[in-house]
Amino acid sequence: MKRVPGWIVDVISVGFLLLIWHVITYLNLVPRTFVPSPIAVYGKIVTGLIEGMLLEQTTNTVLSMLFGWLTCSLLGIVVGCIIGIWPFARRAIAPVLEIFRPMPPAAVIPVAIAIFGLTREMSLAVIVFGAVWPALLATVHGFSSIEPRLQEVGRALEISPFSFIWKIALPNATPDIIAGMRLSMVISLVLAVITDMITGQIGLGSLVVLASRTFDMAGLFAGLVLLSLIGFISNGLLQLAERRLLLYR
Amino acid sequence: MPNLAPFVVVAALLLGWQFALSDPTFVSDTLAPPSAVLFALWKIATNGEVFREIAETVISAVLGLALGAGLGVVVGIVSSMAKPIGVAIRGPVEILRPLPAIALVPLMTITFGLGLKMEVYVVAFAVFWPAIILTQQAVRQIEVQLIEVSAALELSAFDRTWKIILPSIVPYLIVMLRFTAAIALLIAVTVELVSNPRGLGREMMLAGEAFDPARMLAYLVVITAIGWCLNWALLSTESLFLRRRTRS
Amino acid sequence: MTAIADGRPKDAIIEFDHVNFSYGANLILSDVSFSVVEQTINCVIGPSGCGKTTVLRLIGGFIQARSGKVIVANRERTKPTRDVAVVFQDYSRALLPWRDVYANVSLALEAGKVPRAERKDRIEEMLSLVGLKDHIRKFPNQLSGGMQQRLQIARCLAQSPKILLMDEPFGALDAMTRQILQDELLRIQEAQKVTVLFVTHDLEEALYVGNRIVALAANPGRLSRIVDIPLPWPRNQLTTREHPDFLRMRRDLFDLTHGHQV
Repeated sequence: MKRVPGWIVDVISVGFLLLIWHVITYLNLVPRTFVPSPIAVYGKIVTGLIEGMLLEQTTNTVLSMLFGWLTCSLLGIVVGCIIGIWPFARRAIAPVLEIFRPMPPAAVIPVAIAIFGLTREMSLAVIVFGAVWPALLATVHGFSSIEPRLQEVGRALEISPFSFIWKIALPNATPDIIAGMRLSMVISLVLAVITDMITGQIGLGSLVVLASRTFDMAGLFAGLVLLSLIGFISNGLLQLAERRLLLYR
Repeated sequence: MPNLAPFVVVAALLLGWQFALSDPTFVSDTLAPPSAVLFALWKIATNGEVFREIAETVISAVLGLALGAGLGVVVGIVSSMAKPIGVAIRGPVEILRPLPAIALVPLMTITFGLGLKMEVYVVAFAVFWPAIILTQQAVRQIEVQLIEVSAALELSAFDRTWKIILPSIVPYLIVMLRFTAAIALLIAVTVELVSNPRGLGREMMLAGEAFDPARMLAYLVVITAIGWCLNWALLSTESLFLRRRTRS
Repeated sequence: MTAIADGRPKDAIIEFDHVNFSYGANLILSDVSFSVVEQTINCVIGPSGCGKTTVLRLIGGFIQARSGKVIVANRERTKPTRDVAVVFQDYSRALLPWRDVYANVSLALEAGKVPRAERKDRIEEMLSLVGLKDHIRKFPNQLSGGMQQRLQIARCLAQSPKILLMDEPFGALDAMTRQILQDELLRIQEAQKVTVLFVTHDLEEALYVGNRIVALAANPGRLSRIVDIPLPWPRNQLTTREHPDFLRMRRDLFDLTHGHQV
């Protein structure tokens, strides 16, 4: 038997899932009021994107996510590098950061609302504060877990501290950093959705809430489909970048 | 010598925070000094309300975890033992997994109404996908020889699962549980923050709306502490298991 | 100073002058004195725990003697410098996994601030010297153990060292690859005119590659004997290993690597 490429199998299986969904709604196996047909959802997405608010809602959510993710990644890498490289900071600060690790990112929302009100700044602050931890902690770990041998190689070659960070420590930490950034991306999307839901700012989160209030099930599912697509695509792109960067493995 | 530096840092942060807000003329709707937070903690602990809220949140997190992780393990094992099933579900898993579970809250609310049930299902959805993936990874770790032994013994599929696969993936399942338990707690609190009128998340939101920052921060401390305890408890279980494995 | 038989230069490049080293309360090296003549191959042998690697790390400048002096090229050793290269036993950890063969060698030249234009020729020269010319674009984990060790040696040579320190460099390789690399080492040392300090627990290897053996005893690590190896050059895996002197020295020195009892 000839091997079928993996992605074709995936497309077929996802298509099959859609077909099952269609058949279930077509045969009225579940009430239409709860689960709309995929065709209705597709129609909603197309008309929404062309003439409705859907495009704006989608771009807003994506932009919040990207802004939060880029900020946290930058912040996490720079601060994480300093803490990971500097032995004193590693001893004094890294354990303190661990306190924040189990804190649910969304739990800072009430605090942020108290400080910023129901504003866009509040959303961005929450996204950055909540999503920075994976990138930060992974970077600290990556920088503090340099192979001792490589440090000796660096010493034997009399490499300057800056070159050491740039040529040895940073590439050494890259797998950890990318893993952290992937997690940060997921949390950024989640927090973008949650803050939209709470503040009612234009975005996919508020779309889902509004659609549920008006029992617009096709609209609600349209939001869910777009959200999972955003998550799927962003994660896929990062995975691709990861594979490219870590080709040497 | 134990590493005291982090404690010094924490103490300095707390003192700085206390000092910055200790001006008696300073009244804030948004920030409270650590002493006030401590006092609020004492209050909610002594009148017992915090334990009621913890119970509500933890119960939905645990039920959701049991449901989602349980199903996830079953799907994970079945899909790694029967290759065609594994291939068939890979696409749908990859496309559904990135959907933020919280976005399901409105749909679940329409379907089940507010309350425990809805929260449990949202938690279960969030936990289900990572449970599948981590279980599949765990099965992949099993030594090929073990599988060959079970084939040579002509064990039935049930016996193979029960006597070979499950025991050999137990340590990995505990790691999986630690990972998913953190997600479960996080999602439960978030569902409460967003809309569900129960548990720690709701109390925190209410305190914020009532401009009672000390109480709000006290609940934030409680939530973080629970996450910390949960992680610690599962880490201990993990090392207990690992120790027993290596000893025998 | 004993003279070296084959007429190589006779200046001391490494000197240990009553060196003590301890780790916490543990005395690792006790009153070790010896010297190493330029452009020779010197093998440090001894049972485990005799401080062989400590001797090498002292010369490398990674650690400092508690008392006594370690002098390298007429200067007391205080820190690592580029004119002393170290070939570690665990080659897979000492290579940069994200750099390919070419770029791993390049690291040594970048560290030496060698202008970009001059790097290419020098890297290719080093790689052909160790026989890796055809694997320039491979990453370390695509290479066999022997090739990874060749790569590490190439990187060390690229830093144009006066001294090459080798810490059981072939200990993790199979017997066949080991012998091939022993011959390569002799060829490279001849071509590059470096001084080699070779730590090994394998007496036959030491006899085969060395001009001289520095034997240490354990608990605490101390000098046991310094023996010149009178075997003729060039060495040959068949004839040298059957040479009467080889067999005699192997018998005489056997107890040195196998504890105290004779």
